[in-house]
Amino acid sequence: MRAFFARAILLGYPLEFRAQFGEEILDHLESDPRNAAAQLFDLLRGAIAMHLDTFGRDVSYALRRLRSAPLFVGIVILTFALGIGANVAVFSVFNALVLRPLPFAHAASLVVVESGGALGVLPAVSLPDASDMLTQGHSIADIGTVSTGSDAPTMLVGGKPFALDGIEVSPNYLAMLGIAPELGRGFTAADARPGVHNIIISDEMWRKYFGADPGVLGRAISLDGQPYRIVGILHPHQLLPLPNAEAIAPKDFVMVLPANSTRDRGARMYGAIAVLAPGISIQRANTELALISQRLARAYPLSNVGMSLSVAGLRDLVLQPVLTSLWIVFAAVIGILLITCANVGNMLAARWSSRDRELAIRRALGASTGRIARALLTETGILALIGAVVGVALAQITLQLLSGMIARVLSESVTIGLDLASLSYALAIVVVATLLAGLTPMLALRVGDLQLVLKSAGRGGDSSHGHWVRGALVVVEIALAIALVTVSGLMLRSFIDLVNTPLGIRTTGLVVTNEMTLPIGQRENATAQAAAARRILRHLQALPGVDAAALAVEYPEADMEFEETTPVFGRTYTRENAPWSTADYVSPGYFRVFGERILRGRAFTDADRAGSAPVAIVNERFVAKYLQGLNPIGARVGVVRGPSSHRWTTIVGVVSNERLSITTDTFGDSPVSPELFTPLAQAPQASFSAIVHTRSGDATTVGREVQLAVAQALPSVPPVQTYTIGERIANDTVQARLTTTLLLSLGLIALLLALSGIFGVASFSVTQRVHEFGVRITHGATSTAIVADVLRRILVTTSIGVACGLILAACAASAIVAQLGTISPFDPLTFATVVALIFLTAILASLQPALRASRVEPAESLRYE
Amino acid sequence: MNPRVFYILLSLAQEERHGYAIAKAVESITDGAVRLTPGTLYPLMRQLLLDGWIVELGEDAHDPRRRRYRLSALGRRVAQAESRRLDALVQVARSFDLLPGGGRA
Repeated sequence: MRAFFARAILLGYPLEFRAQFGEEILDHLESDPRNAAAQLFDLLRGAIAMHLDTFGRDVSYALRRLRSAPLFVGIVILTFALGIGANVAVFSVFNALVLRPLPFAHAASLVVVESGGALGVLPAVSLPDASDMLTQGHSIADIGTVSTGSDAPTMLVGGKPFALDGIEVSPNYLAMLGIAPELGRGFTAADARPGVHNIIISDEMWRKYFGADPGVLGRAISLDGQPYRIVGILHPHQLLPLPNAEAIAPKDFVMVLPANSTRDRGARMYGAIAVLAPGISIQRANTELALISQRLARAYPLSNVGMSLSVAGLRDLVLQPVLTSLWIVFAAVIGILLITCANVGNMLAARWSSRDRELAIRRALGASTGRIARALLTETGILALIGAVVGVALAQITLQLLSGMIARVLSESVTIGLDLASLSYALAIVVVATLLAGLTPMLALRVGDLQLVLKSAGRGGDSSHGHWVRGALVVVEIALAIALVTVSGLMLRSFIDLVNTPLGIRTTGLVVTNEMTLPIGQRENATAQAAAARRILRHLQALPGVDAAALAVEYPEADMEFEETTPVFGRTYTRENAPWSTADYVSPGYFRVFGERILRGRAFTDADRAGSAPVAIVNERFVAKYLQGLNPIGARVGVVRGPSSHRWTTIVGVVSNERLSITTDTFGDSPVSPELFTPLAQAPQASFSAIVHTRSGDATTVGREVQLAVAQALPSVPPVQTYTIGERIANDTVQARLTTTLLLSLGLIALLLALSGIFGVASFSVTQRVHEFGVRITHGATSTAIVADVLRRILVTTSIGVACGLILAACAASAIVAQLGTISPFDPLTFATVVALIFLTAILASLQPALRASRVEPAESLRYE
Repeated sequence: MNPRVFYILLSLAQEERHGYAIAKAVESITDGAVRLTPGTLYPLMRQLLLDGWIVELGEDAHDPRRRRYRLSALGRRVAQAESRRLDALVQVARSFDLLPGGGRA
């Protein structure tokens, strides 16, 4: 037993020590059986001490060696910093999204309720369906519903209007998520009684409007004229899951869903979070929900046929929309890391090879190969560690620079930062990088080579074996760089394709506002709404920088969409083929402002007023989809005028198609939805946005003018924000832009690393062959011939790398085909450009070494002898 | 010098020994006050070998698991130098009456 332990401990000693003393130690322990445990412990301590001692020597040896080559050290550290920094930055995002626990109690058993149907699976549910989920099965323990509300209510503070942003929830919602107010109380069932108006406000709202006065608890505030009593104040930065907005975000306030919330089983407009019963998995819950869905479809065919209820993990809410992008970028940084290691490996191979006489001398003095390898790994590890420190700093800076874009993509739900997990990841990367970058060049360091080196010390003998390893490393680098640059090129092309998608409108000189909501007093009656609209339009049209102005409920990139049934007069429909279209209410100038063409009939005029004959304009898509075989002009369609009532309205014009969002590409079979426009004057609205076409170029000035004009026209409306259409499009495409930006940066890094790798090999090979070049020049070789020779060698290596890289790139491109839109994953333009870029890089990298070779002085070259 | 290294050198001053015998000798020189366990002894031996203070003579004739070591010329000079240093120190200690038999007596 003791011998067994002793042998086990001995394995911890270096091999040479074991060979020298192993047997003797075992014999010693047998001969002296006193205090066996203490002796074994001592043996173990000895092993650790010996390793620490060796490590300490290796470190000081490495530091001494590295001090003598500051340029080399700087380049290696920088290379490592790029590779490790990119990894740490992306890991931090991954960590925040995937690994870090969600900020809710029992987050593991929380699920998002989804409804599946013709439009796909959406995180929304109707209130009756939600309550049946709970009562008809056993897998759901509790369910809470939430609505992000439609209009932003106005609160008057010191006579000034402010728009607030809140949610309405079932009374159990907050408690279910483990969210308790910092001050005051949470909601109870009593808060849902009719006539009770209680509100919980955010810490931010409390500080901003109430000076953090705890006395506001119990006080009433007026939202849109309705008094609400403050019963609680949330913790700072409290995040709330909002499935119907597909986000986890902070909000100004929380109210209880009003008693008149729609009980329509077909109104799947509420978000719902459920708690799974103890021991129930998502799969089991979904099996039961499938049965409940079938039962509901039989009981309520009108609203529930073809619909299915299901649940998904809460994390999917923030993760799902960005998951693919995240994986692509993660794969890319792993690629960068490999390139980094190949590159450093290459530099180390050059350094450790023939010219490193110091190593050869150590070897000659009796150090074993293993011992030297260990010392060299320590050297690599030190470089990687310093590189990691610089890299982590780079990652921090990068995340800071990108924080704006990241926050928009991830909807405020996660805080990205370096934490213990990121640092641990950095350390793990250091180990991997040390092994990869440190071990490969050792393949070039065979035992025999070292002796060869000693013999040919003066000349720096070229071991063809070492050369082979270095060539292979450059091939790996080039291949990975090709794959990376190709993927980023394809993503760039698809991004350019995306932002250039025609929206069917002009995209320059347009300034738009966010939705403004009329105050209490003007909101309730149509006359006041119409008067407010006219007043705003008058103010806007009077602005010096404005060429034309319009009001609309929706417009392209407004980030909202209302669909309503629009039956055509004289036709009958079943539930399945009922015509749906996007309903928009616009002022007469709308089509002119957006540059849309009236294809048939006429545009709206000021004569289309309340009281005149009701008119509508439809888009081409509407005609194609719903009016086949009819003359659209004069056809009549039903325009929704309240719950399940239509007013027959005559179509007076057909307008060219506009696309409501550049990123959505589904409305059945076309990215353009059928649209029906009604004059705002005939169907006045409480909320709308303004759009102006600027006369001069400066959108910022016009934006400010528009804000002032709105404030003057309607002083009781909260201040509006203004944007250019370009800004709206940029906002809509921010995720694609972020992914593309990251990939392009990584592609650029890959190219730079390949450049430095090729340069290293070319430069090294020229140095090795100085003598040969000298002789050839003496015998009449022209400089052109020498340059061609050097370039030829590099281009052969590059070609091998390109061949491997193209295969790798094709695989990578096929993997991301879903992200590429209309661009083919084998897009010849991208592939050709990338190959050309790599060859250009190779030539660029070998130019200086080639010229150096051609200028070798024959006499000089002999000195290398 | 590490006192344990000095003891090892002492134990080899007059005869060659194997590792276990060195430990035994040190124990008897110090009346059992210094016990060199394998975890301490052999790493020191390795260092002594590397520094060339002791020389390995090969396997013991009686037991092939044991190897015999002797002091090298360098090791002997080092041991002598250390002894002289200690001797000088002891002289000083005597002159300060820290030890009996001092110069002033």
